[in-house]
Amino acid sequence: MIKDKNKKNNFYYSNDSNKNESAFSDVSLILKNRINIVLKSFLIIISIILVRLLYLGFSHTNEINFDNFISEKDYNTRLNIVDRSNLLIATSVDVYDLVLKVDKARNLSELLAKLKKEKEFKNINVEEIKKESLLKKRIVLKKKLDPEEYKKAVLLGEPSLELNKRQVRIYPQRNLFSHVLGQIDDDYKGISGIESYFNSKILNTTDPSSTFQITLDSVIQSQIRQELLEAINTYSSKGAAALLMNVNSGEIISLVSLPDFDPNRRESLNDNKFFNKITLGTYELGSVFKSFVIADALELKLVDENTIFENLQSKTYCGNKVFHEHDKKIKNLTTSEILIKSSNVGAMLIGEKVNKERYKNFLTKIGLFDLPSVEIPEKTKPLNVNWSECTLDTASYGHGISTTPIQLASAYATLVNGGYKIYPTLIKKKNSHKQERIISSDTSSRMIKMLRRVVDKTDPAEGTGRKADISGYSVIGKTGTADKPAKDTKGYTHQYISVFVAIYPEEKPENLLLIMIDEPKSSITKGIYRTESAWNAVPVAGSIIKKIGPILAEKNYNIAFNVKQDK
Amino acid sequence: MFELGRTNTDKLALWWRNIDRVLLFLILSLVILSIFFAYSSTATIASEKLNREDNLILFKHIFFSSVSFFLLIFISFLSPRYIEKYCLLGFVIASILLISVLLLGVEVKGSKRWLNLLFFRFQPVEFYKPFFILICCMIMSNLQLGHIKIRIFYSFFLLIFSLILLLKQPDVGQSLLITAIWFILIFVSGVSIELLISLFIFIVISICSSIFLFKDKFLYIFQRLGTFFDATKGDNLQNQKALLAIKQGGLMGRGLGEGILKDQVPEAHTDFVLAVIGEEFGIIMIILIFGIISYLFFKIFLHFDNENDNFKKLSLIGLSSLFYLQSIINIGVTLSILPNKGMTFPFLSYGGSSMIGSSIIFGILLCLSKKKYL
Repeated sequence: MIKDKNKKNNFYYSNDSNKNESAFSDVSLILKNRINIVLKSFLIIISIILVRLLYLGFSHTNEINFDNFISEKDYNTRLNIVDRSNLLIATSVDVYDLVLKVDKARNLSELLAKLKKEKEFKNINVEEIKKESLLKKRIVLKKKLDPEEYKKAVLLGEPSLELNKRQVRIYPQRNLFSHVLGQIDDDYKGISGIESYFNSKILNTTDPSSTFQITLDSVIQSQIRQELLEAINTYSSKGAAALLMNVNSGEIISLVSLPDFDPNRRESLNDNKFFNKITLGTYELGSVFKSFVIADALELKLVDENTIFENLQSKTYCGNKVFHEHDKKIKNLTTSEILIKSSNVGAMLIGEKVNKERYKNFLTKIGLFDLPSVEIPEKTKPLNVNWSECTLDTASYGHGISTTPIQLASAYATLVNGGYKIYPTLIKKKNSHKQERIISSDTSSRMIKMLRRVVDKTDPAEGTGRKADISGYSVIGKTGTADKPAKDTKGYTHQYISVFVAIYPEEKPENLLLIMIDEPKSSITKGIYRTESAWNAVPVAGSIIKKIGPILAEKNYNIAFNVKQDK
Repeated sequence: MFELGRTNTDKLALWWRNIDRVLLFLILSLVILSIFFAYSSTATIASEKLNREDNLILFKHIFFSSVSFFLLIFISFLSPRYIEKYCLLGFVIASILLISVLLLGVEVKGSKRWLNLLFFRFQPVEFYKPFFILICCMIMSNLQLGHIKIRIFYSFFLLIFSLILLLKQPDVGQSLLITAIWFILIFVSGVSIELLISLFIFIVISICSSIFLFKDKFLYIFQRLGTFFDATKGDNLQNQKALLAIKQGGLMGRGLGEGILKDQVPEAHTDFVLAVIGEEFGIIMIILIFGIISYLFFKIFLHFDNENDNFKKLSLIGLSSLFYLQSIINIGVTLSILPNKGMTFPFLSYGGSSMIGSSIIFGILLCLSKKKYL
């Protein structure tokens, strides 16, 4: 600091120096003690700034929340959903909406005029927004800003504008998983499918980097969906559905129901394309039920494979109702042949041997009337059957009794997996489901042999499933064709539901493929002469097995499951 | 080879010998730093905001930097006598420009502070400030005008005139700045404390009353003050983000081009250039820049003791306080010590007017601080 040389200069009576000044122009105008005060005050300010600088330097944060422009009120996150090979099938992206906070706008018309001038926002409707501003506090000016619009909005620096951050759900595979994944609503909550069933697990989880895995396989799902689309085209059918499931674990590898929808588009849920045929539809599925009556009879040791039923008529009666056989010949059939040739009258005779109570119990025990265990909300419990006089007869060959395709599949899984009850699931489970025994393993292996003969091309009995006998896979299965009940009146229409349950390989059944075709038509030009399952569902199943067989073999889901079990 | 020894009486050689070369190099280093920072802080703004080629603002900045640096060299070539002679002319031109702002100015964000020249927007107050201070110094040091009190009253009227022009814009920040400099000037020239206090009270009362009389025009001041003291209400977006940017930068910064403040805040490259720098290069760089500007200030300020001429002494004190106080206010706003003022940082802030104003100030200071060798 400068030493004060002029001792006369008192701080409070400084006018003395000014008196001298007029005498000598050389005398300094400036008082050095005051210079010192100025410099000292500057020094104080400097030290304040330095302290502040150092304080800021050491209060280093990595706070990313940089934008007070951005409102996260509506910000909800949902987990990514992946398939069993970790392929992304549902994900979320952040988007921003430009929101006008009406009460913070100083001059609304000026602000809107300014926005309108920018080429990014030239489409806003000024008049409408002004009208709205009288009623609302927050007005959405533009939804889902693109990066340029976003940057422009930020750089406008307008305090009354706010960017509303929210997530948008994206389903990259579009229609492929529609019925399984379901949809979400405006509040980002799941309203159907997995999105709804596991909403609490998927919505706003603490660990947003994790994923939610389901057991479906994208590749197989898309192959099956493609085949079904072709089938709908070929058979001019109303719809089709397929289910691929592991018979040991109940893991669903593919679930397709057509027509389907694109979950990326939000539409009204009334359309029939939102209807999941596999889990929500209950149908009379026809001859596929013959396996159950035979399995029950085998389990009760009332018959064996070679028990012969003689002189089977082409017509039979229950009271005044008439039941027809497929062909008119009178013949003798063994139990196996009843199944292979799908004889209605034969199945009725076996049903009578089993009797009503025991058959009813068996169907209940095997789960055909259960609510499906699959983890989506769109499922239904089949209506209770009123077991009247003739119900036993019809139920033996699958009429007058209805169930969901998924429960049919799980019942067939029980028939072939050694007799254990199966709970179809979309989530990988750590432990096996094979705990609850329904039929003995002996009955199960006998059933497998019989069901193989249905499909086996070389079998002299000429089974109904021959078109699905893909060499190398030793497919087993059972067809079913049922008249659809009339909607308004009693009785049946002439439209059919075709079902085929295919399981392979015979030696150790693993994969169950259920194909259902809704109202297939015959077409002579395409070489399809009949509408029974053998002419539509069976060849479709065959070509699907041909396609997915190598993929499934490579991925080896069942073996992976067993390895886990051993540990 | 160009000979700069004492035998050479060439103009350039004289200039080189007499100029304070430390000051010159520090100023030059500030200019070079400013070009470098302008590159990092404006490149994206130019491309995103103006939708033109990437480096438009950078080229503009380089253009103004070189223009103002040559202006600075030119002024420093002048003899101090010329400054005394022509500062009145400069003041008259600056006053005309300032008055024309009120008539012809363009309004940007609620204030009429700019003149729209063909190729750039000119803010005459930057040009006006140095000449106002020079004129004040001239009046105060001119013995022919009478007793010191009388001289101070003359300059006081000048101050009132300037304040009326500035508050009409309205530009409270610059008004406070020149008022503060004027008080420093009369304080060091030995005005009695009673007079000082009464002038101070008078000015405070007149500014306050004018603010309250034209409340709607000064609404932004209340809002800024309100948000400064209560961060939760209103829009102190720039300040908050600048502070956050500096915090994110920490001591060493995030690295060149890593800053995001410039993309988040409007006008980050002018008033908040230090936050942009701090985010990318750390507190260390802010301290370095602050160190350079402080060194410049003390060196120039204390130079007054070497001079005999009262005008020179007062001008050195006044102009150095002007740029230093301006820098301090800018830093204070950036660090959220002070409410938002709209004050630029000499040389570093982007903007032609600020650059040219700074080069006039530093040119005159270089000129006045020349040694008196022949």
